[in-house]
Amino acid sequence: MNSLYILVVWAIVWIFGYYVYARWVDRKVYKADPKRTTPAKMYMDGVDFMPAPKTVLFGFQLNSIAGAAPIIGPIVALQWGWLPALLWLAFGVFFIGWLHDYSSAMVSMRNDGDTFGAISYKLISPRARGILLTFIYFYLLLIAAAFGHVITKGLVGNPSLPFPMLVVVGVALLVGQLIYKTKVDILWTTIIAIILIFAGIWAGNYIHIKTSYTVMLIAVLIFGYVSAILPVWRFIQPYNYSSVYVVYFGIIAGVIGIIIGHKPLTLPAFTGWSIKIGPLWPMLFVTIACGCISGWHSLVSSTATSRQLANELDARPVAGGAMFAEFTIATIALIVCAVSFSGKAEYLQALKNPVGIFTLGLGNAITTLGFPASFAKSVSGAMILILALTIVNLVFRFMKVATVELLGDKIGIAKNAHVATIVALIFAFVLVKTGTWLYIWVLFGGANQLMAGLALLLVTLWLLSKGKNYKIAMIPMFFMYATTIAALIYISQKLLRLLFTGKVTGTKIIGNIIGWGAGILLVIIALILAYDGYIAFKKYKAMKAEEVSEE
Amino acid sequence: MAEQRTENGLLQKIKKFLYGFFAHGMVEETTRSRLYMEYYLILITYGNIIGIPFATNYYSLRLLPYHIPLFKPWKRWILREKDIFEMIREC
Repeated sequence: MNSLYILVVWAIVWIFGYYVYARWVDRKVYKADPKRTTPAKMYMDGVDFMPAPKTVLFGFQLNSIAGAAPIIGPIVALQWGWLPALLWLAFGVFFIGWLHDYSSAMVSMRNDGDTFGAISYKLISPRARGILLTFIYFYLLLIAAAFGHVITKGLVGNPSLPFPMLVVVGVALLVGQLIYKTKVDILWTTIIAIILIFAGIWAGNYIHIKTSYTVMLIAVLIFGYVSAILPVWRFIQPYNYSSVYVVYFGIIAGVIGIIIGHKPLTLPAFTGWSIKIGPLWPMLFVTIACGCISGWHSLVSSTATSRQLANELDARPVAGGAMFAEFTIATIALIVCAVSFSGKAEYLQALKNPVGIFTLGLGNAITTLGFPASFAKSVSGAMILILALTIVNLVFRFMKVATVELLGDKIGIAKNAHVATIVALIFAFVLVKTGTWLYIWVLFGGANQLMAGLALLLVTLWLLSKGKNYKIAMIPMFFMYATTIAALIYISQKLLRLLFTGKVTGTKIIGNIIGWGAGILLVIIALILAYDGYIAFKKYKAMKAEEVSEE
Repeated sequence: MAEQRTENGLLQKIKKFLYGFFAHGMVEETTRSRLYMEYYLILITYGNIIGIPFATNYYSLRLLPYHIPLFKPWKRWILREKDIFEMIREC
């Protein structure tokens, strides 16, 4: 089948999802009111609460939610064939993904811009907030391990990439210095940064850096340490700013390349109901998270975007629209990989290094535009590594804060920023070195989807408490909850079985035990919150019944 | 009318999108850092407004006219309960 047909599916989902279903929910369920004062206007303080134009916020939201996950998820999920992956992407974003992001923003906006921690305290139970904190810590650890491996493997597997990445890090430090200290005009700074980064990518083809996996992993963790410790303006901000140009050059060139090349899909449409990772349900649904539905987005929507929306009508184009845009990135990743291999065997062989798969796929698409093959592949490799490093540098910063919150009161030294960061780095190092990446990725996907399920639980309770049609969120919530818990139980029992049958040896035993423990802990957290949610659901249902009988 | 058309024109939309995509987060962080410094200054100069016993001095009075517009958002900011989700965003 020609790859252009997938773009047709993409367009149908976008048009009907965004212009029909999303508009109906916005107008009939939430009844978005342009006259209602939003928290951004009500509590305007110039920083946290500040109205911004919807086009600006759309760009901000897209940049905040789109990372490497919408690319890696579909690449891994191609093991079941491209059809199940495409169907889940299409139906997932249509019925769940955009609704989750949009509802997170709307519910927070209608609750004075409260975060999900505060809303869960109010709507579910006081303990829900504490449980969410523990959940967040393990969620972050799994993200750090999943992406730590992707980056390390990508750098070790392609010796032309470490040099460009060193250049990107150096340019980030330079950009921070030029903008904030030397006060050089941002236009000139941007031009210098882009030239240096692309020159670095080109030079990478001639300057190869080869080292062992462990040394490279330590280098990646040092990067995480530096980004967690340095002030935001010194490293993270300029890194994100200067490197994003490579990412979007890659995406735009890739899209044009796909359209011009319109190659046939070479991977099978469907390979079977059960493969090495596990059965299609529930495992496919946690393998593809971002690009379809991701719990991370609820954090962005509820803590940042909801406090900047100037008008309730802007929530759909900003939060919902950005989700459909991320779906586009995932679809591109799916296409470029499904057309790049001669068959399933070659793809499975390449799967050990997901960065390599994407580099090959997108590199081929960019080559169609006339760029040299070596340069095109380096840009593709640099692009995915930049996206993954963007996540790593934020995750360790978050983990530093979460470590202080969790342990600070009990262990005084944990309040020290360096100690808190090093603790997080050690956990991540142990998990990456001892765990099996495919299982870590699925556990990360499970944690991410569980976060989405929790967000949908809050949305359901809020809609019920306000007498609105709560079923639009409750049905997706049940699906996400059931799927995620089933996936986590499946992975945990698989890890345990591997342990007891003696199929894992040496340090992998530690990784299996950590993975099993994380999976079980996440299931327990999900069940506690589900129980509390059920009690809250009954309470709101009874309240509504009372109101009706009084009337 | 013509002005309004320009405001909503495609070029303006693209410019705003690019600003939002590339720079809004960075500008937001920088503004936040700057305003927090201001808030900390208000805290040590007028902490007595919210019950922290800092003695008002000559310099507090000299600075008062400049800080009056910030008192309302400052009080809301400092008295509002914050949780880990918010701290994650600010870290």
